[in-house]
Amino acid sequence: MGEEVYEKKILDRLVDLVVDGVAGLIDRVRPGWKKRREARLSELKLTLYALNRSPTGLLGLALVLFFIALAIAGPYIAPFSYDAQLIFCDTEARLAPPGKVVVVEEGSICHQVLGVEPGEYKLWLGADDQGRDLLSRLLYGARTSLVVAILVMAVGPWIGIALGLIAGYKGGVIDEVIMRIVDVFLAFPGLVLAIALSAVLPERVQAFLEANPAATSIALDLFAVKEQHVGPLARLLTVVIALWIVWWPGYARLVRGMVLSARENTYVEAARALGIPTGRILRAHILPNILGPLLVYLTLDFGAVILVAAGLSFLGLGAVPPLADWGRIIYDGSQYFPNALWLIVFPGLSIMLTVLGFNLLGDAMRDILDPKTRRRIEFKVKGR
Amino acid sequence: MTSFRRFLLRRMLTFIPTIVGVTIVTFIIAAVVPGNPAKLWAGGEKASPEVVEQIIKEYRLDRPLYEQYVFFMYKLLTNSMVSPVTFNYVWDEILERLPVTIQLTLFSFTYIILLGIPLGIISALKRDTWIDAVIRILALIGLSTPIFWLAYLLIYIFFVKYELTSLAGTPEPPYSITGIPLIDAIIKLDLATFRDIVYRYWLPALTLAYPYIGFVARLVRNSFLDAMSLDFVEYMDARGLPPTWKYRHVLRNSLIPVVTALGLIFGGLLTGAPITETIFSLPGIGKFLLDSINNYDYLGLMGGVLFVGVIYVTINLIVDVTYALIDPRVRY
Amino acid sequence: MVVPEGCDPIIEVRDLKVNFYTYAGVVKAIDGVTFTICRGETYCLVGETGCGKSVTSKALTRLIQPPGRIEGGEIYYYPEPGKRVDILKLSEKELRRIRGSEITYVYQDPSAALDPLYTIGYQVAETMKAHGLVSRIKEGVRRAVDILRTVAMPDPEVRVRSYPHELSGGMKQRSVIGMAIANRPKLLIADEPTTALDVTIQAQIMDLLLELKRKTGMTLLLITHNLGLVAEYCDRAAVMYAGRIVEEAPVRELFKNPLHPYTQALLKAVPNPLARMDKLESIPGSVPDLIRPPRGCRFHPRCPLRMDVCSRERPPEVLRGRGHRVACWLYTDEGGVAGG
Repeated sequence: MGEEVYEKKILDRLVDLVVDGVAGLIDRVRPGWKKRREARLSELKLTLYALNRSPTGLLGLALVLFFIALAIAGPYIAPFSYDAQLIFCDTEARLAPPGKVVVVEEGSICHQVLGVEPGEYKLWLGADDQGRDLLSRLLYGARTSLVVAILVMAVGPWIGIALGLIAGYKGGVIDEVIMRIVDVFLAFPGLVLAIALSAVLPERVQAFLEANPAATSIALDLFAVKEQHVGPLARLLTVVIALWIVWWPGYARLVRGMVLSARENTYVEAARALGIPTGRILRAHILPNILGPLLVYLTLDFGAVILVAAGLSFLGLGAVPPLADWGRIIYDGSQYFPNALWLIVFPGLSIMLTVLGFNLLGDAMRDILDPKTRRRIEFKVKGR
Repeated sequence: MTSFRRFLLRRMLTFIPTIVGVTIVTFIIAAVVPGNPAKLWAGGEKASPEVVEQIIKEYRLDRPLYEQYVFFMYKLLTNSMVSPVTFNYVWDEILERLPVTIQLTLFSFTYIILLGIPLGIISALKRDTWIDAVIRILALIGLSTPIFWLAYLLIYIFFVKYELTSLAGTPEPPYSITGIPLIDAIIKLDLATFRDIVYRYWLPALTLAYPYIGFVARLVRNSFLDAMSLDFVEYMDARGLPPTWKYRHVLRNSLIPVVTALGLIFGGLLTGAPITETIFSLPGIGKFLLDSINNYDYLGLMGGVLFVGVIYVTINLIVDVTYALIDPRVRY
Repeated sequence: MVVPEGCDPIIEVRDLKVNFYTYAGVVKAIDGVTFTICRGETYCLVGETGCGKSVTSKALTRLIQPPGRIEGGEIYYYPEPGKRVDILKLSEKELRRIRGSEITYVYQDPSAALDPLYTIGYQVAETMKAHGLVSRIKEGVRRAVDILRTVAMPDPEVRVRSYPHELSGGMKQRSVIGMAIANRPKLLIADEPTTALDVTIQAQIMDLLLELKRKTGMTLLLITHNLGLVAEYCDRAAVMYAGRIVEEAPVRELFKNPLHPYTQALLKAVPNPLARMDKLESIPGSVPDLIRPPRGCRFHPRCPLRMDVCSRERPPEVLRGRGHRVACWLYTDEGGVAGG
């Protein structure tokens, strides 16, 4: 072949730089690694080139990266802490509209107790009924959303994936039992199950946190929450557990289906006929095949988790004030509806743009990873 | 048709363990209730010990778990379970909420079908044009929008600014045939009531339908394009069939996954919409579940979840059977 | 042009070029193909998979789908003697009138030709209704029973109501043939009609096609990789290699006196029905990549008799005997000299 298929853009060169750089690093630690993975690396590059040509995919990626950056940096760049009640500085800070300037006087309670430096502050996005700066709370809220989503996605789907792999590969009674359990869990509408679980779990989570100070301090750091707010944090963690239980059955069914169709492949049959152990077949032949579509689902669900978690907070389950959570901010703001619209509009936009980012990215990835549409994209890339 | 009957029988047989499983899970959720439910029901900290004792006896909270389960199930199924919080029969309360949920479902489903399917088809027919791009992005925005946020924006526009809907009460005609005002009004050709109902429900239903419209549009688009690439479509050109005939075949083939999804959406809508019902103050099933949780009414919650689970599993069964009927290839 | 004496052409193809624009590059699938099909004969296009014979047959009614495109040449169709239709100038609507009624197709895989959600009767009826043979589907389904009987479908009254998945491969192919003859076509193009079927069914289907041809007087274009079928059923055959016709001759002549090295190799690779053979030989090398086809003669990298000129220039077509043409430098004056 040899002929250059793509006219490389700046972003493509960036891809080359990153992929080659990372591969080079790994190669230095484990010599020979790069050579073994050569085919996969160039396939990965091609995939990323294709992503570079999807405007919606790039927009999604940009939104996602922006969100992640805010979630990491948010607590550091926020003008105030999430629980700084500026009403103690200036009574007019209560439900202050966007753009309102608040004066913090030297020696005021606000200065002494909340530790806010004296001076004039502009509340770009307004404040809530306690005079808490909305911009700061949205920045902290990004952290909350990201950590919740990561915690949910790091466990829930994988329970389902593991069970789906087992059910699909083993078949027979094991398959039947697992799938009947899946049926039972799928019979509950996800939101209702999550609501019921978040209603009955908080005390247990709080008890767990009290018994495990190490876990508590990790959780506090992750969520950028002050020590005195362990109680509200426990309620937030409840949502994570509830969503684990809601999120696995879908993946079990999905993965089982994919395994069943991957098993039909001749090379898998051949591997079985050769007596290659089950675990190895799953790892070497089946998992790589289903990884693409799985990645798409995981990306899309990252957004979905953020949306559902916000919905639960809105219903009063999960995060409670003073913790900053986008869904909860809307709920608290809705108490003043139709006044103080900024308390609804801005957090809602934050949720929407974040989730949209994951959806755009996932959608573009689906097109790129699906062989059927992949050809069309590559065809378009070539032009003509 | 005997094979179809065997398929039905087999499907029914998996239906029963699923329902039993649903009740067990519900019970487990209720059983992990922290603290002392009897005390909560009796009025919290200041409850008199006699009342607490009486509640424990009455609801057999001192018995082993499996006995409690059998007792709860028996009481629920015979509608002799009285909620210790509301003092009503659990089943009666749920049935009272049902008409609101059904009406909300019917309106939402109408939006989903009338908007989702045509948008999806247009998107597929105009694929890779700007129309397709706009519809796809709109669909994704629909899937990304928190409906509790959308609800307030819509209320602000259509209620606060222009008063094109009402947010209080649920219109009920003086007569009752099916128990569902919307259907009764249509049967009686009672335009005034019908208008009231539409006035009350059109906005919450739109809010509820919004994400599903995007979902269905995407699904229709993708399965339409999948069907377009089926082999027989190319052969239809060789047979000299007009494009409209070709699209009829494509549409029918692409509708199979769509019908499945629509069935599941319908089932999902019927199980209540906690967020929408709360914001628009509609007393439906979703609101009932939320109220039960907030009132520590775990028996009501259990009844509600059981009800919702049964509806969902039943709709699932109907979808499977429909699937077998519309696709001749399904081997029973 | 090499046309047998007294040929009344039904299809004339001149210098046809078809390209496929893929991400890997431009595939020159058909590169200057010229042939004529005479009314009433059975004409064969023979070649290995991917040599462009199917693409050629689809191009006859412009059925090439994107990313493929007809890039040059002429295609003429003569519905009756002396009446010439320029296929490449027709509107989609006019083409549709010809497809499925005057020129019909039978594809390789019958399951890929039938909509799984409609009955056989419906699909046959639909083809008739689209071309105005019947005005209602119901009437068409009634007529479909007779058509299925014509194609020797067992229990036609029952089978019109069957869905494709309820039929065997042979029965499905009979239904497709039924659709193809329902409108009494002038030319039936059968693209590997028996390849997807059991060996035992293959002969039945071929005999059916031939019998239908005899009864209706239609012309048959048979596309196959199977030299046995060519020998048994065809009048004239053209051998295709990598998007070009390398040799064309009446069938007996082709088998007795193959001129092109590729034809010779092909005949050695399969049991020759007309000659005794001691052993079969495979053709060394592999089918060329049509994105970057070999220069000159496309067969030269695999040719045992190649000369310098073969890799430089495209060989001209040379006439050798009655209706026998070959595109090979061996038979030109220069080549003959160079070859000694």
